[in-house]
Amino acid sequence: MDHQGHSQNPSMGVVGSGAQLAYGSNPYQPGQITGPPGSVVTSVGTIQSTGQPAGAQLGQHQLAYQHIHQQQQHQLQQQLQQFWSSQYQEIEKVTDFKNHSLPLARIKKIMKADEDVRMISAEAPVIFARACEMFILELTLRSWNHTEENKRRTLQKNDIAAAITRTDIFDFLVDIVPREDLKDEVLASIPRGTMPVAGPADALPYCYMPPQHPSQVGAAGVIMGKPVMDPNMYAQQ
Amino acid sequence: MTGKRNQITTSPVGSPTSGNISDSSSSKEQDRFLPIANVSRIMKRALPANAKISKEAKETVQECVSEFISFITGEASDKCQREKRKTINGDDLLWAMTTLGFENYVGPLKFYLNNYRETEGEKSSMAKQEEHSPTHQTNIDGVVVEINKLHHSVAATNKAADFNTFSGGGFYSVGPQVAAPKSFTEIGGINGYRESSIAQSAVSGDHDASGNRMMPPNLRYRVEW
Repeated sequence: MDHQGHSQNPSMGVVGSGAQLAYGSNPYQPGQITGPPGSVVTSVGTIQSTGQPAGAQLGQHQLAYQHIHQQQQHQLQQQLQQFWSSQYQEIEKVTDFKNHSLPLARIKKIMKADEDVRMISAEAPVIFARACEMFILELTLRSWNHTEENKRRTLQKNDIAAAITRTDIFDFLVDIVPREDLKDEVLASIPRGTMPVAGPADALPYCYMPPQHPSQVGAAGVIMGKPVMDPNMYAQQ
Repeated sequence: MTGKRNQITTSPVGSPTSGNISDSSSSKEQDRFLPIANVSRIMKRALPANAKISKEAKETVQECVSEFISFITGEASDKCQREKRKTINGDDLLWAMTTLGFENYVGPLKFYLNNYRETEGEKSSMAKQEEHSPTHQTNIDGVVVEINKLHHSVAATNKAADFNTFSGGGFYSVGPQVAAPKSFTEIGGINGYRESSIAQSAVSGDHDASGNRMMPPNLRYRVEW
């Protein structure tokens, strides 16, 4: 792992070039921001194997990374599904609307901070109290996913930054997370991002071979992996 | 005139800075966020028992939640303005969430909102029955007229502020005063009635400091009435 990180430093210039490419392709990829992690890891495995011509190892690394990340993403999706269905069950039990987990007066004050907001019905803060609960739970679940990826048991600020970066509907929160934490996420991605950029020359030949060799499906993965990384580079820029 | 409006606007909550929108920027830093203890408690519900949360993480989520509220509110507010409505209600918030990508939240919240309206609606009806005056359908203008009368103010420019602050007062109307609104169209009447019902919920449902402070004045006026 350390060795891998070290080998990335000389390629920083290339990353800069990749960032420029990222700018152009970013508009076409935003929808894939949530999915990318799996593809990114696949790219890393593939490129790494390329350094060692053994085709078998290529397949092994690829499958290993895919499996691990599919497992993680599947687990997260499962948790979220469980979360959403449990919301209906919890809400059914609610009979007293006076006891909220969040203070209505404070919610109303935050709503009123916007000068354009004039009058607020009584039900609005009540709805928000519930919506904010769901928001906090979802954000925390997604953040914890990142904490576990890093083998930690303490949820930290950069975990939240990672969750925000990876989730489309949280785009409006990007400004809240200091560039330090966002940078951490981007830096963590750079080692993977470098691979596709460095890989074009290697990837090109594979483009011509897919029909002949089934194993070249991995090459397609590499190609797919490159644009996936672009948004992150763009974010860094 | 402006000063007078400010007085009316701020007096019910007993705190000029918290009641005056223009002073919101000078409010305590902590008022911009939900309490960290509440946020922290909710976060823990999403994590394993042995998980820990750094203070920085809690503070970051506090900021994120306030941003979420402002984000949704802004979109809902824009919609109300386009439709020439002044009050943001639950449906506007649900619409805004759908528009901004939070579809997952809308299903459970619709269910929640319906439950709330049923429960609070009943309380609202009970409250109305307790009034001495006969129950009449009224509209926003009627409510405003009552409010202005209660507070000895007939200035047109105060109507919005009055309604926003003393919406509960409208329910202590007397029969003769409600006669005028009957001349409005049925649709207008229905809207006004709904508005009044919502306003009443604000009084009966809100048990924070602001709500508590609103009750005494109404009771006093009722006695005098």
